Amino acid sequence: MTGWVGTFALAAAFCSALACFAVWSSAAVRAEATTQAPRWLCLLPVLGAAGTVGAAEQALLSHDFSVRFVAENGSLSTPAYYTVTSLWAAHDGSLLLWVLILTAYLAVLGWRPPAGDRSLHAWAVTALSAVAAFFAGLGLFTGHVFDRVQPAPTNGPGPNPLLADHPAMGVHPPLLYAGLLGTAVLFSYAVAALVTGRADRRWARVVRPWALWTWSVLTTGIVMGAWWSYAVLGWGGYWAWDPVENAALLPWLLTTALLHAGMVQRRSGALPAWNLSLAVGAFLLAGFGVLLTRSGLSVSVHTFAASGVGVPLLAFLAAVLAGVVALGLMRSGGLGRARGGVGPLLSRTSAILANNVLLVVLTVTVLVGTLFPVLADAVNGTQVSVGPSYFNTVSVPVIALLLALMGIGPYLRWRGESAGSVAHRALLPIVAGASVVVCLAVVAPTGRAALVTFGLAGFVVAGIVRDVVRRPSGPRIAAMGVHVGFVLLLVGVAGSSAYAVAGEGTVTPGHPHRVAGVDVAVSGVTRGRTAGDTVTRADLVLRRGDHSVRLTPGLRYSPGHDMTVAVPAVASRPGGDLYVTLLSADKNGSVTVRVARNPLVGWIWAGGAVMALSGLWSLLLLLRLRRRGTARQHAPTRPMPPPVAVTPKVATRAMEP
Amino acid sequence: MVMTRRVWIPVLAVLAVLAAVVALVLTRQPTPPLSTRVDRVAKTLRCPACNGESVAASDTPIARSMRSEITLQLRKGRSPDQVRQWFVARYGADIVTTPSTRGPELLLWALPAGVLLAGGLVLLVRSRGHRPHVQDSTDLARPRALDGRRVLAAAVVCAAAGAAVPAAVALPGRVGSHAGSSAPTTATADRLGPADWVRLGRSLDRRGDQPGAEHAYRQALALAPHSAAARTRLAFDLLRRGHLSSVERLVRPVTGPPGRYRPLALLVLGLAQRGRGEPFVATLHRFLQLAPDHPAAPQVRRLLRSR
Amino acid sequence: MTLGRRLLRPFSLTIGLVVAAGLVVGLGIALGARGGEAAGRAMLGAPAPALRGTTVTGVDYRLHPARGHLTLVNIWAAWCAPCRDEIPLLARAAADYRTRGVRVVTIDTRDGPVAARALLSDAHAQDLVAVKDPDGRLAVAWGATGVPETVVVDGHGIVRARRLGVVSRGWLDSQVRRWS
Repeated sequence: MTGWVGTFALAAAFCSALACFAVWSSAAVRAEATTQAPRWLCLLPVLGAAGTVGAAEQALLSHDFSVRFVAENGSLSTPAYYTVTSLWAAHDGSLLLWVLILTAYLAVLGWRPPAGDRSLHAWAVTALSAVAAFFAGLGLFTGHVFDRVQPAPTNGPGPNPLLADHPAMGVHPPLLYAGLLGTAVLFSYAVAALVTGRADRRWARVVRPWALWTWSVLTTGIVMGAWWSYAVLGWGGYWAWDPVENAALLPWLLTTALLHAGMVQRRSGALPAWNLSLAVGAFLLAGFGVLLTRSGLSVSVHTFAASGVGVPLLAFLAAVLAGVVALGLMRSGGLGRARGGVGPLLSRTSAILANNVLLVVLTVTVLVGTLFPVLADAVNGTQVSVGPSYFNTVSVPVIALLLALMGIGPYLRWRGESAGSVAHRALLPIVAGASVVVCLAVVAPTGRAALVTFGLAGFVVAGIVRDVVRRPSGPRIAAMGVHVGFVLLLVGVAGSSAYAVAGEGTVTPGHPHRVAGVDVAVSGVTRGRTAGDTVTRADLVLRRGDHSVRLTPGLRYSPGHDMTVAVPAVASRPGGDLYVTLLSADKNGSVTVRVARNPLVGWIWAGGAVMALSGLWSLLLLLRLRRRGTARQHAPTRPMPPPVAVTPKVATRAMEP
Repeated sequence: MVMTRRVWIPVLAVLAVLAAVVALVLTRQPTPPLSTRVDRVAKTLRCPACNGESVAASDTPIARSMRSEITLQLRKGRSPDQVRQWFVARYGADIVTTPSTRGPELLLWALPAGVLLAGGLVLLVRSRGHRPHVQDSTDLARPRALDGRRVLAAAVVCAAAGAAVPAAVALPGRVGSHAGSSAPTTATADRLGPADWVRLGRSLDRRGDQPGAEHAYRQALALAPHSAAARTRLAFDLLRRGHLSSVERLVRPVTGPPGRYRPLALLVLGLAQRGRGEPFVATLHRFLQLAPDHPAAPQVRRLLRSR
Repeated sequence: MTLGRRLLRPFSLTIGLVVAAGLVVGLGIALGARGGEAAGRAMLGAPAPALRGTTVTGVDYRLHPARGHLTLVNIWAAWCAPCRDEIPLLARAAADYRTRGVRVVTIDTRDGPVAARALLSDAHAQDLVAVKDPDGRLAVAWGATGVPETVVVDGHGIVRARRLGVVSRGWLDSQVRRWS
């Protein structure tokens, strides 16, 4: 019964998304129509998706093993929280979550009255409902969630133990999907701009809240994923330039570029085609990420097992690309741009463009590096690995350049200024950055790349502090908060890779052993059972200097999946982490452990949090400003101000000397 | 005084930059401990038996052996590049995760540099053509909207083309049927395959759900009547529950040809024969010969000795 | 729009299209042509590494590959179930090949000597040479990616073939015929 309900709800979501597309597209085609398409139609798909997710969860929670997804992923011994999250622990169920979030965006986009242009909004809803229809159809026709299993087994193997280990499982995938799907909204607006030709300042205004939301959520998702693989999964590092990690990073890079270039477009309407390409590119890369994770193209610890979704998804991405190119060609008259070039070299516009160039270089690097092994194998049969060493080598100089830009860009005048005045403003930050380099070179010498990073970080922070102290304003602080968060994150990354010490060793009871500069003593090994899994824990006391801490790393064996998972133990302090993984424990109590001292790792998570929160705060301030702005516009008595978009950047400019 | 401030801040800045440059040039990183150096080399090598993990990140036995090997070689004084070459000679060029600078892999290094140069050039060129920019947008020619019907037609054509491709691929053979090394929970058909039923049965066995396990094995057997795994495990289950009559029929074909399940099949057959009063010693001896370290072997030896 | 700009737009569009199309085609091929065989082409044609150590029975052993004998090197462990099935086959092959001058040497990797000796004696394979490799470095030196793995070294000490997984007597015979 649950199976029927689930399939029916998913079919309803698919059909209503198609209906939404049909109705809204016909409304959009009638360009001068005063009546709008029915908004309630956009609510139907999300109701269908909620129904199908609800049916799947109900089957999981009631342990209905006649439903195929439950037979493959459910278990009587999994706790309720992880039973709920097991919906997105495997490909078929996670596609349902994906459809739910996508149709939720469709509902929000379609239900809220259009902020500006009606026909832009109508075409955006049309495009988004087409995307939603595709993914709902993908779930309906290639998904096996609700297939019947006859006869029904009495129990199942449970979800992958790696994914039933930590409460973050309930938060990270939905956040990541919400971020990736936000690019679908940006894409829809880009398509709408191509069709209506309205790619001017107002487009940038309308898109900015969505871009801010997408960016903030995606930042949270990515940093949380890094934290999870470090603190919980015991993979030792937080970022391995794994194909799946890169797949989430690529749309993030382009969304960041869009946020910056959008500022130029909001001011002067320039760069319309570039911003549209960024929006479309971000969506295509997000789709490409889905392809990579689920089609078996890439080999990674992260990927889902290969499913049948690869070819339809590739065809979809190719069709979207072809469609956008066709639209671009149809738009042979161009999208109009402000007269005059980009601006002199020492202007904020140029700085933003340089930022975009650097972000695109990073995107190309990560994309080519991720795809190269796959393509080389397919075309030539050659086996090549492209790993962290390549990505680190290429990205470090680019990120250093980005940091340097971050230190001067936000304070340049839009219209350009002389080198002298820039230098004058940058003197104090330069002194700050240089002194950081000198101090660290004396006190804690390390590799040149790390020293340069720390110096640039000092340079940027000093510039931000100086600017915020002179001109405190809510939106400005929020925007600079993002930069501060990014700097914190980079300092954490540089510090943990430059100063980290790691080592392996075997410790026998009663004989403390020095591993990675830390004295490790084992006082016992306990074996127990939790929720059907066997857990072996080593009771360790680690001493370094006069600090001592007790940690219990473990090994967890899941019979259902015949899989052993390492459960690391981490002692975190603001200055750094002590990270212990249990490699093996034998019968007489001696253990082999891997100990790592990772300084400044906590700054990475703090930096990520500051970035995401500042982004969300920016969004809130923006929405509040807009609401006040529309309220003021509706107050009839005062003469209307000139129709220039009221944005935080304009407000800041107004306060410039 | 303002004048002196105008003078000494730039002077201070220049001095500070000079000091920083000197510090960067002269800084000598202390040699990191051996374990960190091993870690750094291990990060550049791929674990050959894992899903794309590096040797530093993987906990598999082979990765640990490789780390021991790296430790020994570094201790002997070899350079990281020499160590990497040693591994390349044994595992092929793809054991190293940094692409070389020759051949098509040059693209990996050339492309980022090329894009950076191109982007920088475009930026320079366009900033040259700058004219005082116009703030008001009213004199921009407003681009016309496209004909909506044409747009929809183009969209439908693209969608149809996109839909035709997977249909064309799926028709001749089943899409998505590939022998993956990490076997997906099912490959093609609408139902679980025999291997999945066996796996399900085993996990149910471990949990003690014997009726459920028997169901699962019977399903596997229905789908693959010659599956040694399904036959042996079902027979084992039946043996434990005392249904000895069908055990011999199930398990005898597995005891002949060599295979993974032959020892277990012999054990099951021998115990069933013993339960029915038939000669079983030869069978159990063959079991011990093939699997002397089986967890049940000590009991079987005791059983045979007590006769 | 200047002539340059008018020409540039379709040009850059074309370049972008070609690149994107190439990517799509490449990905399509990659999707279809998946599931390559296990790697293991390394070391073929290269001189075999040294094999030196103590056997599980405590005897010092040193393999001299280039002494004119074809050598079959098998890497196994007692905790590996398929390896246990393979040991009797290897022992029989070793006995049969001795008259032909073909040597069979094994490496017992990441194992305890007690379990290894027990396995060998129960399989009546006490004569099989099994060099101890407790930390697995010998297996790594021979380029092993898993157990069991068999490497064929010809009479000149060059690695000629390797196979991951349980070997059959037929495969062994064919390799001996080919490289003798």
